[in-house]
Amino acid sequence: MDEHDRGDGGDGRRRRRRRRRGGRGGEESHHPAQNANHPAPAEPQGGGGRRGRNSHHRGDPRVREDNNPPVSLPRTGRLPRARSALHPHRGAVASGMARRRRLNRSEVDSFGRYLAQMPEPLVAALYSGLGGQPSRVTGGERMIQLAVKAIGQGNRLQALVKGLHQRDRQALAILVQCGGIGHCEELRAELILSLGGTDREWKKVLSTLGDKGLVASTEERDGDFFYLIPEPLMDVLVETLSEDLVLPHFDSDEVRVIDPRPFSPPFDFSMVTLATYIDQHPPRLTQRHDIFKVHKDEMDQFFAQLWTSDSELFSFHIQFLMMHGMVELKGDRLAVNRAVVEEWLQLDAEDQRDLVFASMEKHFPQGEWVLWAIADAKGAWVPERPLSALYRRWRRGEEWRERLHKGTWASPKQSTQRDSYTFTPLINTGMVELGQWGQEKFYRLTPRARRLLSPPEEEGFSQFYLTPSFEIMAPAGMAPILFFRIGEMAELTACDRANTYKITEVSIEQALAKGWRRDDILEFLRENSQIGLPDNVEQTLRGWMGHHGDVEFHDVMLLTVHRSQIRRLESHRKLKPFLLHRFVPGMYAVDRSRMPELLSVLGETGFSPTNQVRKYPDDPQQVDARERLLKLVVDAREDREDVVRRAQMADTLPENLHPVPGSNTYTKAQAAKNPAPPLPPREKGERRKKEEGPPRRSPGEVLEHCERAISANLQLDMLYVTRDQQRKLLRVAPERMAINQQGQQVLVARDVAKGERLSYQLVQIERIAYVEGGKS
Amino acid sequence: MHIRPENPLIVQGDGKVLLETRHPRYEDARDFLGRFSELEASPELLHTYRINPLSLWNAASAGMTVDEITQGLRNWSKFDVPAEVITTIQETLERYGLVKLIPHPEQPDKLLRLHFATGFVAKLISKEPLLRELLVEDGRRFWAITQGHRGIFKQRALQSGWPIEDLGGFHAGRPLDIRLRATSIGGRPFAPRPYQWEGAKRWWTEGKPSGGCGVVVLACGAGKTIVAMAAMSLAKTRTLILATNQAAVSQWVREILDKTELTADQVGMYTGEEKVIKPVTVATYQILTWRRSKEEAFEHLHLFEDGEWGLIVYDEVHLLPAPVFGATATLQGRRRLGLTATLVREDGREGDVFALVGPKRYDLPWQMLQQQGFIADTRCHELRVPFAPNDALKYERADENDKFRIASANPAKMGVLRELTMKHRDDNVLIIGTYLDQLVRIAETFKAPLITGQTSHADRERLFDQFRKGKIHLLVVSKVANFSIDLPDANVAIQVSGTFGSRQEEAQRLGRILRPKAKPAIFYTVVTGGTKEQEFALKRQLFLTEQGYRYHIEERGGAAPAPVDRQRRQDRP
Repeated sequence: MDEHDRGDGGDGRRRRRRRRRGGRGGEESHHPAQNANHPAPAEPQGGGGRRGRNSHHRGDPRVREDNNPPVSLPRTGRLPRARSALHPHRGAVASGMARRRRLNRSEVDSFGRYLAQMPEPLVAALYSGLGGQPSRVTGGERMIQLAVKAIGQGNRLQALVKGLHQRDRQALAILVQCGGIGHCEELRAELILSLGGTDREWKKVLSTLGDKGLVASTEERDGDFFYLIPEPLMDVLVETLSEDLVLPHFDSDEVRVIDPRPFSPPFDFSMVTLATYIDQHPPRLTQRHDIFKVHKDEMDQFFAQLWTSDSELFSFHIQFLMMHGMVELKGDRLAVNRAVVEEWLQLDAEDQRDLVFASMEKHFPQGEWVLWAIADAKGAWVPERPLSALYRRWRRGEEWRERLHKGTWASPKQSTQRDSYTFTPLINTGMVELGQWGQEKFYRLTPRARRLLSPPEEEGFSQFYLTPSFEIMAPAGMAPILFFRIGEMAELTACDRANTYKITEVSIEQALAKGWRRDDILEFLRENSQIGLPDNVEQTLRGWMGHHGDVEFHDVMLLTVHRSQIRRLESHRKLKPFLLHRFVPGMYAVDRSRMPELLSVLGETGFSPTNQVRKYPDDPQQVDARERLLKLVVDAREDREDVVRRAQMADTLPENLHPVPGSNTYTKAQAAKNPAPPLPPREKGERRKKEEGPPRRSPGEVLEHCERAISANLQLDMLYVTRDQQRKLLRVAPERMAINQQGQQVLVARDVAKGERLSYQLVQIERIAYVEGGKS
Repeated sequence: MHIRPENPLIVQGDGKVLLETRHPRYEDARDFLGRFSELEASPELLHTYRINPLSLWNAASAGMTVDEITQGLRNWSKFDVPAEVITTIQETLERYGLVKLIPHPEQPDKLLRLHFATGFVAKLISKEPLLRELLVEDGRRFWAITQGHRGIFKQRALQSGWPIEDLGGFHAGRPLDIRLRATSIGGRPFAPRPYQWEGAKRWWTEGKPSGGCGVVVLACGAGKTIVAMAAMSLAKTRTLILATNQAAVSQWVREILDKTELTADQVGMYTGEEKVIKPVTVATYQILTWRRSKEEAFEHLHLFEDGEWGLIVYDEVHLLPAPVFGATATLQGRRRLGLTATLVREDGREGDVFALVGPKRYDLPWQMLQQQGFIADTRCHELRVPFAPNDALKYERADENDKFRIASANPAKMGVLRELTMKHRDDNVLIIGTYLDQLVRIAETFKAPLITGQTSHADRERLFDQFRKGKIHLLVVSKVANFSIDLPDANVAIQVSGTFGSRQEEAQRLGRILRPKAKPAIFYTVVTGGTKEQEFALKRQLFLTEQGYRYHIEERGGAAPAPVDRQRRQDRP
């Protein structure tokens, strides 16, 4: 699938669109033999070819590259499997006939180069066969030119072929059908089988053809060699021998279809329906990886319209799904990988078809070629015998080619090839139906196969029926992606010409669990239903869904753009593929794995993105550093002492409050405790004593007092608050000011009562006063 | 698979046929399908039919051929016709007539003789267990069945894949010349509508023994009474009509006298209030199934035997009480016509209706009648009201059995009723409910008359008459008014409570306003949001949504109620 990788971008899609529109891809010759031998043209020929597949030069592994010299082993690329190289045009014989008969310039050159590498005798034989006289030509080069010219005119070769004896022409046609290669003895045996005669006769016929330059051979090894048709002649021979190569076909109502199955829906319909069923009813497997009988019986009953029990068609479907990862084993049950199914559904019809054919190949080699061959009959019946003979020749040609490349030229002792083949596997996989008339058997394509080979331009139905009773009826022929989507939100209840689904609360819950959003479910139903969304259905669904999914988390790389550049960004075709989702104008989700690419494209398109990606939250290291600082701030805050506040807080403990000694309150309190005798009446003029204790001072006043007392050599009375919150009335003799270890201002003074020299923090001095007459 | 999107049909493997109604050839396709398949659902855009043995049996008895059906299906279908459907059609039609019921030569009143096309067929039939038990040895060479088993035998035989050609004939009854008037007594020109004639004719089947029994299904208000009268005019025999209640009986009598040439002395009522047997007698189911006690017999079942009836009409046949099933088994020898709008029984005994009365002979989608103007174009609304906080608590704490009733009787509904009655004060409004106390409250609040089961017949008639004449514009009714009450000018119905998930009740109540009229018809159903009542409402609406009606849902009374407990099922214990 590499050349059709979706990263192919526009080019691949254009090619695919061309192919689809072409439809006339169906009109081109897809005669099996013709196509089996049809080399990849250098340019498209005739109408809308599907050239994208001519990719042998791209290393398509299905195409065998020949490394030997072209004469001995011409590049054929005629493997039926490599139909991309061989089968660029799939269409009717008529269109093949309508192809140009004249080679264009590059084909002429290519042919010339080819002939130039051929041994001269062969060129001479060819030239002679075309009506020329080699003896009259001077030089090999000239003869090549003339031969090329003759072939290029088309009618000369046609005349040559038409002039052949009938037997010669039949032998040549069979050799063409074998892919232009045939083992010496085995080819002749094939000719005897098909046309009768003797080995000697056919040897002579082939020699005659060789003399006419139409057939060459490889070297001989131990008596074995291979007949070969020179590659450049194949195209023309296929065209010229078309009447001999075409399969007979006819139409009659008297042909009785054996085991008819009228319901032959498209593969994508049955695949998706089966996947949906498995998703909703995962069947259990035995240890041998067979589906449990009870589950198998249920499935058979459910899909009775599609296939019978034990049908190979069912096996084909299951194998297809498993082979491509759409269904996988989870524990002991099968489970659907929805992502892969979605991916498959997004593929173009041709890509899906390729996968089906690749899968079919396992059941029946080169089955796709058989289908194309039968498709030529345009719905008419193809008799079994000629079809079987054709298929036999393909198979033999395949084997001969393989032996040629492997060097096994001798005939094997026991041939694995058969004289006749049955196409039962194609019948069992629902591609072909078998008819009988008398004793004769006939084949024709089923509608499923016809649709596979020629996907219709438009689907038959674009919308389903949604009823107010919560049922959905979806007719086969609708886009398969719609079936898949319905299966995500509704229970599949019947598989038939119109699948039936039922929307239930459980199915809606499961849809939500699968990632459907509430509004998306409603919108999907509204847009794809023929009658829109009935009110009662909508209201009921809203009730079931509640507000599920209204809040979402996104793990995304965001791209934002200045509002002045929004339009420019959104409209640029190179940038559009990178914008995965648009949240709001100017904000988009992008794929972080493609950042380098995106940056480059942005640069190319004239944007100047920043180099750094903003992180939310910031760089972890930066975050840590900031957090450390913040912590320090917190710590510092905690450490900072508001001493005044602290002191006041200490003050406010009520149980620790006492009247100030010396105060009136104190006196009164004391008096209340010990009532003093009444004072003698005061004599006239006697004054009461003043209250004892220094007055309260502000910190500035405290400092002033201390400095003055030091300078004036005065003593101080102060009320000092100790560390343990006691208040002491002290008389001190200040000596000097100082700063303690904590950086606080202290008064160094001598306690007069104790005689000790101590430091007193100024902030702890509540009250202070000079001692009158007190000198330190 | 050939896809022909331009065709209107999809034929499924199980016999279901989907028909697009917007297709230009819809009507032709519908007429074609109606002859051999049964209409199951008719929502907007897509009608569902079912090809089943019964419908094929009808087709065979009407003379349709296999080729006609299969070719028609192929021509109309978008996809190929499933092989099994074709096989079923072939086998069923080819089997029709291989087994016949013919009058017994010696005991025509008691037995019916079986006639087999071949001895092999006889052997097959006699080996079917369900049929074997009904067979009676009739001499050494024949088999017979009793008259009472006629319907059941045909039903079982059909289920076993043997459509019976019934040539047993009917007891003709005493002839009675019944003719329809060209002008009704009321002075209006009268003639049955085309679909009414069609229904009667399909039932009558030109008087052939294969006809004369079966059910006609038409929407409420479509005039099933007229179909019955047309059938009576075809059968021209004494007729017993069974109706649901006294009011319905009165209505029947009125209509018969108004639209046929029968006179009052030829039409009688047999009810709890009066018991008069006349050539045309209208009785209630209740009277027939009345008895003094469980141990005693049904005193009035003799009515079936008296009167020499040639035709028995079962109005609202889906309501046929169980005792009547057994009692009327002996009536298999008489022509029988069932009428209903909703051949749906919550007890699932529709099959018994078939056995007793006969197969569905005719139906027409409600939407068709609406489009042609024969029934009113009706808008349906579901109004959801929340609980008041106290009531919500009460609801949450209640038992599961009580929750529905609490929700149904939510006092908050009064606010919506007030709003609606104001809005439709110029219309003729019916408020219909189930719970009497609720209805009493409503009647008192809005000062409107109330009709319940306890209201006497005379009062009911008087009130209905006043309503019809426009003297009153608002009537509160209990489920007595569910059926057979003709109030042609009622154009607004407000359902405040219902009987759990009864689809048939919902449809019948809608039917009260389906008569075509000048004013638009609107049906409201008021439910308490986020409760069991809302859940049951969803079920109730199923039948009507399948008939193409859409409910517009509105939340009333403030914030929308929170969704019902949406604990995920897998998380529920």
